[in-house]
Amino acid sequence: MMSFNNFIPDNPSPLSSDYSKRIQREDYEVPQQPQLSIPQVPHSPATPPKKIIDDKLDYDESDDNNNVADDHINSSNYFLLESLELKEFPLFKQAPNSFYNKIISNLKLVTYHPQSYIVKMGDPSKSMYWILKGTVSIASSDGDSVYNELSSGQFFGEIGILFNRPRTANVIAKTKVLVGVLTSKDFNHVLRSFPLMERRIRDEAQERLAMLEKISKHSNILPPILPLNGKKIDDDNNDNLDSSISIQRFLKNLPIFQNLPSNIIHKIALGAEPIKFKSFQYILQFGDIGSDIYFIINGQVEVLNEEEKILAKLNNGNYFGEMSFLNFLKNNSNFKRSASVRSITNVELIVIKSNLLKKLCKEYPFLIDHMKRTSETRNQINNSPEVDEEFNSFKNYEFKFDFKPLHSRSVSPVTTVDEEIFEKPYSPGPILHSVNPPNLAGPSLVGSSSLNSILNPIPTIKRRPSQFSLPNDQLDYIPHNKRLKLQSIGRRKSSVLANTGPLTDQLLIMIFEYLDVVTLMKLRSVSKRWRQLLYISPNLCKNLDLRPWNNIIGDEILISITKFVGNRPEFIDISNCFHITDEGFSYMINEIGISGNLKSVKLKSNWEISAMAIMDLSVRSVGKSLQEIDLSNCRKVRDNVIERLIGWDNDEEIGCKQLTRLNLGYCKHLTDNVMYHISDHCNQRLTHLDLTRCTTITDKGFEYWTYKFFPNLTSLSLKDCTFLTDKSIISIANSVPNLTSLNLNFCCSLTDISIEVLCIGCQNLKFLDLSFCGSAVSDSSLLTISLNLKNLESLILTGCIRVTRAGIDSLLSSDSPLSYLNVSQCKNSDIYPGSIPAQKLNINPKTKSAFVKAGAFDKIIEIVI
Amino acid sequence: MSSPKVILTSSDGEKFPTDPKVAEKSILIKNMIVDLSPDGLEEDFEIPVPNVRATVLQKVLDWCEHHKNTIFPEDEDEDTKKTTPVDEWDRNFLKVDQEMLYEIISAANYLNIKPLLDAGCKTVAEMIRNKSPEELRKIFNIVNDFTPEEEAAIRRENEWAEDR
Repeated sequence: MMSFNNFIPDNPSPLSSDYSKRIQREDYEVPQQPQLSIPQVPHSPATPPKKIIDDKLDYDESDDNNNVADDHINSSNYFLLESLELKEFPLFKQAPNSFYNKIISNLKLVTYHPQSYIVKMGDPSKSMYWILKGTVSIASSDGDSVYNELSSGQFFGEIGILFNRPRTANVIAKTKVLVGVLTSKDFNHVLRSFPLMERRIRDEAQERLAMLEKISKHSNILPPILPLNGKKIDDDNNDNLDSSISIQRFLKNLPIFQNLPSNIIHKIALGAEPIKFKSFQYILQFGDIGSDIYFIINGQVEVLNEEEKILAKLNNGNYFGEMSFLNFLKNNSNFKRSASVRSITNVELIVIKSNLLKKLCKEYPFLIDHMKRTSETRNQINNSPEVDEEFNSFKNYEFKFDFKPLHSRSVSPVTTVDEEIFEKPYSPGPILHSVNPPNLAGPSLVGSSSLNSILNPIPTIKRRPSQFSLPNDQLDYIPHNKRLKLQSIGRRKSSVLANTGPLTDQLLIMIFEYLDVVTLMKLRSVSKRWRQLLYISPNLCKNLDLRPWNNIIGDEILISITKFVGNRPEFIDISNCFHITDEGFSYMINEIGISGNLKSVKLKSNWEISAMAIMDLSVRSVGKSLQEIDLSNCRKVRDNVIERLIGWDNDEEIGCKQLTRLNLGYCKHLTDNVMYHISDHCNQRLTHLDLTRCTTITDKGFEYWTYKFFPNLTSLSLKDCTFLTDKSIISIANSVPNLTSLNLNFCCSLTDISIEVLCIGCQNLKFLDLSFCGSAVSDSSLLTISLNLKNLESLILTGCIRVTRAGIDSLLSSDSPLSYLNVSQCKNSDIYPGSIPAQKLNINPKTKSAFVKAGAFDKIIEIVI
Repeated sequence: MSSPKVILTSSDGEKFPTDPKVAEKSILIKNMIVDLSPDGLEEDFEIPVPNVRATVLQKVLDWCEHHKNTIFPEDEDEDTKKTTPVDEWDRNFLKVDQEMLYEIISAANYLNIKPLLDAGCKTVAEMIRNKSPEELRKIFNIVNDFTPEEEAAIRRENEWAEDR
């Protein structure tokens, strides 16, 4: 779970020649088809031969690394796996047994010799790998630079599967390695039954990926941990297995752990479990049994006593749960929680198990002391509001170090840092900078203030009085739910206060409804009452349209806007806000999405946003009301994103079940699979579909549509899908009888047949764009249109050079309500066949259009030439 | 005598005999008439409007008179409603001092005259847009109850939007 990478290996050496033969045979039976059976076929884990098909293909190609493993391991050697204590792996520790069993039964065991390639850079990603024994290196393409090493207990490759990304590095066996291989098919299959686990893996992967992308952006400010720019890891550092960059770096930068050698940090990271909480959830309840310790990666929590009085607020870098852990250490049976902890914002935590920490504390007693100090400090604060001078005594505290520093980080400077902290509690500035590097804890660390209260408890105490009266300290974000609760207070206040200005609150809010979100944010600074109204009025900010600010909005601004609007918006339009990345987007979607009221999200050209982040929308609680999504020109969208957004008919947990309008223009990585999924799982509800320039979708995709019925689909754009042929149009004419708008601009491969079938199958067409469909549009096809499409209002024939006045005449004389006809660039439009000149149309030279009274009802038709 | 009138009485006691068709621009009054005399008015019908001053009521009735034949689209979707600019005549009609403007809005709200309320709100929203907090406090006669630090903190959060 803790591994760092999106390096995903793919071509395991098959275990025996016998096995590979079997695979080969299957290859003929199962040609390389889109994996359409994934969502449907409940495929049983007990059919081993099928599983490695994908990997095998890779194997055939990469015959240069023919280090076929000599160990012949029965693929279903359950007992061997058992003996490897896979169950102790972090991922499985909190997982249901059935999940563990499912994974186990699908794992294929493969061994690699030292120096053999497990994964090659650039290969397609088809499986993920668990390292059961041994160590692998992740290396650059030339194999010279080792980025990272992973060892048993870690897995890699899940990002590649979730993202459909090709492998971005080589993975080489460093020692003899035993890995468990899980193909993407099985992976997806298993996870579908375990949404919780799926979510967990996805979150983790998302963090890692965001981290990676960040790292590649700022590779110049990297700490030595991640020598991406080609620096080789020294041999002495081989025991320093940096697996989980985000979590490990986070841990390393916590004051309590900063004195630990990296291999110990690594151990902690391995044992740590990330957990997320939405705002306003209880993480711990007073009196709960438990002694694990929680570290806040991101977000804010409040500590409440038995009477729900707020004792403190904790931020990024703080930890809690230490009091009962200390009891646990003393073997005191009373390790009940001494307070409740509740999230204020969305919170990401990591949990460190008490058993693991206990072992560590034996080796490094100063950990206990740190916690004791924190716990004492907190007890003091909780028991008396006075600042106790005893803090000064910490100054004289001495750490006991009984380990040898393995890393370049030496012990002595660290101790001085600590002394500084306690000597100069009021000026933590430089220290905070040193312990809080810009990309400390992954994607969502933006508004991260600091690790202040551990480092510097006194300011926290000073701030405490204001924390009892919430609205006073509103510069801290308060979740919208909570703001709503404050509403009653607000009302009372305003009726008591005489000075309410000339307008009542109710009218003021009505007026605010006419203002854009940015103006509203500015209005906060007028007065406290205005600010409160702006925060609590439920009708404000329903429509969050940030397009006017598209070129200045980045993640930080988006987050601050989100904090203002809370979960009020139902329509989000961040089209062309191309600076936004996952960090801001995920924050926004999860914050606003809590309400479950999101109806429309438009992300046109938000090309930085990754597939993982978009998938957040498919979580039921977020996407249940979503009706419309515009992903046009979001370059990272792949089939799996759309599949998840749409969901599966038999699965209530994943997907936006109300989704009816889908804009996928310029998503150039979509394949026919997505067409299959659409036909299978949203044919009934889909109303609008835009596939502009999805050039990778072929006739095959529409073949899946042939026998499905799309009763509600009214608008379809296939603009620039140049490779589609008549076959696709036949499918559409067959399945989409109620189509009213069809755009076939630049579908150059179509012929007259397309027009004929459309005239039969889609007689409700009102808008038809046939621009540059030269081989489909002729005088006779126009005659067919004029006879059949009785509802046609608008027809565009730009660049159809076969069109002559004869065709136009037949259109003009039809009894359809045609009011717009565009024949620009139809160079033969003013002659009859055989070059007979026709009567000139009376064209306005400015607008290049003529108005003609024609047809059965003497309608006025605008003809653009 | 001509057809029966609706007689509106302002807070300061002035009486405004009004043609029912004009008065019914107010949904409040319309409902009252429908409730109390479902078969239409047979004689004059007096309605007190206790929280609207005579000058304001006069203004509101002027508006109703002007729009007595206007058909306002019902249930427009929120977006169109919010983006359509204020009608030219309304804009001029609402060029009054602020006190009067607020009173018209309050009256429109009380009498439930949605189009007038919308126009009024839009007009005030226009006034608010692109003004500094200081100017707004002046306009709305609001005391700044933030500490300088608090105000600075909010300003910092809005900085990105300020320089536009």
